[in-house]
Amino acid sequence: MNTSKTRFKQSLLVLGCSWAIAVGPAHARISEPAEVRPKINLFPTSVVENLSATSRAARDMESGMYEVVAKLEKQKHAYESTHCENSSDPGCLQLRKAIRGSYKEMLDVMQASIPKMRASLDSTVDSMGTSLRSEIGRKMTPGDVQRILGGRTASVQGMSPVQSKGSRQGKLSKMFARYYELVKRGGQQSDSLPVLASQIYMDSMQSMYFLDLIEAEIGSQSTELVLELEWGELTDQISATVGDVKSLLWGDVDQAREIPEIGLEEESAQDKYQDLLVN
Amino acid sequence: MKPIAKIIRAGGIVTFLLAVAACSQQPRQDLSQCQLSGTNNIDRLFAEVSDKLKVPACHYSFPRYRERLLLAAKGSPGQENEARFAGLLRESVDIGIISKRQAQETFSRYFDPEFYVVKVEPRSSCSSLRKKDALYAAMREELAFKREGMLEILDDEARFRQAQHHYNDLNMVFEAVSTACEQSL
Repeated sequence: MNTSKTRFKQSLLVLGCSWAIAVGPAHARISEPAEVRPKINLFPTSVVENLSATSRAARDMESGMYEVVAKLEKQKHAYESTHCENSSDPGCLQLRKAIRGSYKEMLDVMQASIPKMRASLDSTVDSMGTSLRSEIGRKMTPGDVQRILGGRTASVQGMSPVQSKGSRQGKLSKMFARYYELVKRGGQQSDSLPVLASQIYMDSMQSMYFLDLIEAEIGSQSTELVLELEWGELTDQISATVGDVKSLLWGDVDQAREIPEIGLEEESAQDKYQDLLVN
Repeated sequence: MKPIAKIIRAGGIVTFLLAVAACSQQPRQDLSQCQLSGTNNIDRLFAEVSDKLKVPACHYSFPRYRERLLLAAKGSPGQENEARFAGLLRESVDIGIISKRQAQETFSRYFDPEFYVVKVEPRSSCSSLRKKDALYAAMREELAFKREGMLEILDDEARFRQAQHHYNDLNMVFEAVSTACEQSL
């Protein structure tokens, strides 16, 4: 049970992070000024459209989850404040049933989003893979890649934190906003785009794997819920999962900070030693 | 003795004499002439090496001198060491002890945040990354040289961090590109 819970938690977080990664560049590419666009076209229209579709699916799920998680919170609060735990009082049984119902509703929202997410992620993997293969894999040597990455000039100090726009802004949205900022500024330099494209590609592939795990887990939990709808005590798994979803939506720990500041460090000029350096 | 046996014997003697003559042509290393003093003063040591390298007999001691200088520079870390090594390498190229390519390789491996082993890979990324394990191993080895050069010799943490960023970014991109290339097979 514990392994299953941990796996489910990991799946939720990884999925959340990868959505966040996927969404940023979709917007950034559109707003990028033409004169600073990279010579390599890693983000053709097909990739941008796929990322945009993934972003919409993520937002739909996020907004669908807010209401049901808030309802769950209220019910859980009422359950705890009336000391319903281990009680066979009819009111408590009713409340327990309602909590399980809401929990199932939450799983259903997630489950309903999965096919759309899978389809858009699949397309993202395909188009991003084609882009990386043709633009970098076949056209460039590893040295060319390094030269592009080495052309970074913007500095981390130039970054200002993303402002929260109200209490309803969820954690996923915060990450979207932060990525958007990073890509918007970083995107003006073609040098960080290969890293970004690589991250999107690898994370999309990993997300596909986790989507399967999540779907299987939801299926098994839904069966358990149907069986225990009338009788069972609220399990730790329900509380833990709700907690994870809450931290995913409104969490205090800002995971975006742990993500490396791609391509934003300053490069030192080494003109004095140009003859001893290989271009 | 048969004439053929005589010829073989004579040939053997000639070969022996030629070999002895060839050995006598090997440069004699005058150890006292090429020996460095025991000084720990980095400037004095570089000057001393520079003087010794002007003596053709000491050219063979170049690798030994380089090791000694690297060791001495670690005892006296600072940005000035970069110019000291650059000067010595240029001088060595001018004298003809090492090629320009060798000088670039040495200098880049220790002091350039970018990876020499990546720069000199001539094939396309898809082809190169078929042997990505060897490339990654060479990059790791070079990162160890950079650690020595940038942290221990130059005391330049920021530059080493930059090399680490390059290392991470390159690994990330190479991994994605090699996966994408494999998918098409």
